[in-house]
Amino acid sequence: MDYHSGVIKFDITPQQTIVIVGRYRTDSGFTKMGVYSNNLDNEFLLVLAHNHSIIEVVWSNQIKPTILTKYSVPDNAWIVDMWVN
Amino acid sequence: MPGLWSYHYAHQGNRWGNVLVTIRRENNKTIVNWGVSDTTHLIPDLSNEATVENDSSVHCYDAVWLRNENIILVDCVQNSSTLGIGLVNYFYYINASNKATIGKVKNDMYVAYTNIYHRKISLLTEDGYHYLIRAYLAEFVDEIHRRNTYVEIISLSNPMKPWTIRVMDRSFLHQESLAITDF
Repeated sequence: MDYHSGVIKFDITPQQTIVIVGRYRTDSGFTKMGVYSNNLDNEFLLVLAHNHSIIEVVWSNQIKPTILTKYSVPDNAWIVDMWVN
Repeated sequence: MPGLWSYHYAHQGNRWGNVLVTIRRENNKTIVNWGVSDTTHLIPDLSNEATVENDSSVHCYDAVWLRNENIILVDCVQNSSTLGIGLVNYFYYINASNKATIGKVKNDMYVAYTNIYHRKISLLTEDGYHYLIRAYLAEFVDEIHRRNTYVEIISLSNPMKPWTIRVMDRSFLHQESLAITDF
């Protein structure tokens, strides 16, 4: 995850080539990321956070990510690590 | 755990894994502990312990347990600034059975960072190949290089001979800067 441009998703092919398969563009300054996938492949939920909020994005459709929920983070809190289950 | 510097709790699919590896410092020593959780130990038992290095110029950031090979791989740098070389990357290898250091392998750094406070590695198995992904994080390198961080994809088919198959930096991604915050 790039602070300035968002999330870059890549795949390592059987030929060991790196292929960029998706980008979730955001310049909101997210610093932490979590991923949940039912099928551990193309279907997944992206969770991004900074010290003000946490957002859940359904990103199963590469070209049509959808923000599902947004949570606020309490004042003076900061996020050290994040897991999605 | 006094002197705790880093922990590595691997994923297992969408869930917590059962393997924990920690790195701690004790004076000049860098010490790695590792263990697994099971039905008896819901929190991994970290009684396995080995000294990685006893040198104040060596700093280690993260470690993984290659269980099939019975090896603990520890990601470190040595500060050789007194020799005018700067930071030099090393992977240290520890035999998980007898807890002896079995070697260290120098590996490349593609940006001349002068300080690295932390970096992360992660194991990945894809199509039968074993990979190590290592990321330099913007928050934990010197300020002048914060927009020039990168990720390496390293083949670990032979763990003692790591081979970098791709460096994903700002030029690979065709962008002016790359400030990695998580991976």
